[in-house]
Amino acid sequence: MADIFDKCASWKDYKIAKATGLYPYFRAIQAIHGSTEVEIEGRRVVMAGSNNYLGLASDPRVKEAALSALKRFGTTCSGSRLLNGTLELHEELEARLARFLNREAAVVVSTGFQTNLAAMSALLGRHDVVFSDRANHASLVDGIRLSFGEERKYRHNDMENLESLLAAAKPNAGKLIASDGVFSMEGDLCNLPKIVELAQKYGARVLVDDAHGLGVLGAHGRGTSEYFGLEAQTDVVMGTFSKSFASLGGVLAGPFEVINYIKHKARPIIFSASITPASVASALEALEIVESEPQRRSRLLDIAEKMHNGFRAMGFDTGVSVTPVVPVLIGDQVKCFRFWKALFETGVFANPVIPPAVEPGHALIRTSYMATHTDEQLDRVLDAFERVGRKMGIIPHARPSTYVPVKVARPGSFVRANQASQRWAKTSAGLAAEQGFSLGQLTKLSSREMANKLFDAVETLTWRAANLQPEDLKRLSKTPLRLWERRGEIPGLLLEKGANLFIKNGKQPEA
Amino acid sequence: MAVPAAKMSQREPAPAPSDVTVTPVQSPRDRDAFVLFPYELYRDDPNFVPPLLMERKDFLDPRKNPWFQFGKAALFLARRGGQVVGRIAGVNDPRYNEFHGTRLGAFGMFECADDVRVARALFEAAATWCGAQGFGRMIGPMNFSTNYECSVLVEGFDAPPVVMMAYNPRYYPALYEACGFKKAKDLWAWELSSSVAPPEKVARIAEKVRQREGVVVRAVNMKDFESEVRRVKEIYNSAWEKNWGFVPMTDAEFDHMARELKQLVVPKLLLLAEVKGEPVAFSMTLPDANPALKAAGGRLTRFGLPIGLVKLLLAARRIKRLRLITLGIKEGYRRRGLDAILYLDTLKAARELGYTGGEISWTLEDNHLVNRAIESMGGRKYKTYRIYERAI
Repeated sequence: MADIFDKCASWKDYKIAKATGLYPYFRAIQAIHGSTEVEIEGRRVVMAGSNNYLGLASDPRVKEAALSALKRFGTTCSGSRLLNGTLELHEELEARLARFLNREAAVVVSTGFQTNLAAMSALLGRHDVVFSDRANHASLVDGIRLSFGEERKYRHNDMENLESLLAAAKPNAGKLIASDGVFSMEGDLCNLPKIVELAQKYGARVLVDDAHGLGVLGAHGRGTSEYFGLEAQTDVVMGTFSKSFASLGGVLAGPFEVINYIKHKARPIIFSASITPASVASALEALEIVESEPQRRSRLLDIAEKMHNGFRAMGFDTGVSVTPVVPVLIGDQVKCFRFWKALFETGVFANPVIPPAVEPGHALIRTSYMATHTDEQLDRVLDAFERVGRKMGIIPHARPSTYVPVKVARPGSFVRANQASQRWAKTSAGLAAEQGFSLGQLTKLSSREMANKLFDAVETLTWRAANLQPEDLKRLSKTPLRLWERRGEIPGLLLEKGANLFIKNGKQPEA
Repeated sequence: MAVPAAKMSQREPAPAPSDVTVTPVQSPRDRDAFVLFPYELYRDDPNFVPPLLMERKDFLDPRKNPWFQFGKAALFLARRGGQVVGRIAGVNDPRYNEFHGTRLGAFGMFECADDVRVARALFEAAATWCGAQGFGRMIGPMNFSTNYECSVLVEGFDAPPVVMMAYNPRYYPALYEACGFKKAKDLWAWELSSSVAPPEKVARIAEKVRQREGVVVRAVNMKDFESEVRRVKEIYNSAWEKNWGFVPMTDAEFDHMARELKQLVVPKLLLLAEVKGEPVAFSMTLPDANPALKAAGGRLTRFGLPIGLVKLLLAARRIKRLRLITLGIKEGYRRRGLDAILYLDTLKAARELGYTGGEISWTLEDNHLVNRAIESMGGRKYKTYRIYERAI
């Protein structure tokens, strides 16, 4: 009889990552220095991995607002919005957000993740079809799984693919196109103009998850739809408070009947405790600042431009991003962990992004910036990346003579994405996977194929040994010394070479 | 990008509809298929000598093969129903064009099933690629220049090839000609037995020259490999410069070649002729390693065991034939009989070492001086190779 806990005991990835010292997750922050610098394991590092884009999380006005709400209403509402959990404060925030976003109504939900669960599970009925970008956030994906609707995934930002799916769907089915506004890992925007056009052509509704766009894009910070001038054509907008709004929670805004329906039907809302008073008040105060201080947005986009171009000048690949989400392509996932670790030791905290969040072979370091980062801090980040990148052979030792400067999504520029390099496009489309050797593939191999792989390896080694030259031998004789000098990195290096045998590369074996 | 073969041959009046697709080699898997195809194609050919798989892989690896430091090659595979049925490489050798002042593209690594539609699709792929490189004509096969294996065997299919000489099925010349190729140049291979004594007259003249010019012939000193390689390189690049198709080797290419040959050579058969201490002529004769390679069957190991390596080493001890691969004389020392001296000394050394005979290859069909000399030594022309050419 199978024990349901067996899979937990036999899960090796964590143990391997921990044993090699490359485990990057759940790092506890011990202190915060104005939110742009934090202390982890006694080391003070620049925080280049937070979504606190406008830097409001440590703004004294926001903190003060949270404190006073705490004093007035206590620590929690102890119940659902539907029953005892609604404060005047919640309604005030909803009204203010609806006005800010030019919508009839808005509803605030306890977390951003739940907001998408609520929208999808309530809106999609049994005969409805939802068209969803492959790179959409997990909350949209899970919301769709929670619903009874039928899902059609289109290739990332591939509008031809979307159109062919729309055309193939039953004409009388209810249709919704759901897409991230700003894609959270790669930092590019959805092709909203085309999505809106297709939606009108095929009679579909449009929902944009603007978690990373709200407060950042558009002249007034109303996000992707304002940036493209398509607010009227975007039916429902979703946003979160945990990014630019210095709080926790999410919002859905749209036509009154739709929001009212979701409010009463979505189980992620009605069976969940409402947002705490302090969080509501912080979001309210942050909204005030988002509206009144547009200079924060322009500073943030200046920083984005500086960082993109800084990385590109060194030879890094920042891909398609046009936003303050600045991904740096590493490729191999273990190399990505090693890079992350070296970066941390050099004084920068960023986020390693590995499969399944991205395609295998497309592992990247995701950096993101705040309007409150100083130029000195940003230069420190660039310097750390340059040093680590050179040491690990990700960038050349001399800077390349030219680079393609980035295009940033400033209001009125209407850029959606930067031109991807060949390598970026290839790995992003999952075409690098076959070069690596994932556990998924390994489990699919028969013992005969596995033996052949092994025999090929022996053949290669024999050939190399037979071709050793005196100078190679001389080099080899220095290896022990070199290994000793780099002894700290050996477990990581070994793991990198043999990793794909152990760690699942993200792709599940196809049944 | 898959290009249907039928669409590509637009210049043909009525291209036969074909289900052959030619695709560029992109993934490592394609590359493996490219390298492995000949082993499949020649499976039943008793004369085929399978090259070592790893050697072929390294040859195509731009990081390992110094030719790629200046040259460019694009590999293509022809498939029918998922099955590989042919391969070709488009070759851009800027050093060749610089040296000869030409704008000539090339192709190489051509292997093809007996089907003119496949051949046509492959040549079109190579031609399109060469055209995109700005060339109007292409020449080949060159893998990837005359310093390596090149040309098609058109006559003399009965004997297996000797070391580093091309081999192909009988139907290749017909495929080339059906695809509009014309002869650019023939290369000849000569057979020579070491039991045939050289004509008295030649020996007498050689002796006289040796006395008169003060020629000293010595074997290459393997202990001083580096500087010997330097001497040979100088002779090689100056001796061939007037020849058709010749491209001087870069230092990296030469060193790479020297390293590879080092495992093969018998020092007593690498002869340097010096006049007053200056090295002026060089001849290299290699044991014909092909029977040993054939014994190995393309791999040093099988099932993780060094079976191929053992077979290779055992067969290497039974090698009885040689290939005189280069004989070069510096400008200013030619037509003085130095070649005869080197021939004779090679022959003498070969006989002492117990070799029964061998091949002299290749010589240009219009290099009458050399061809006559070989004939006068008792050589018999027994194989003809051809290099083809056509407009793109």
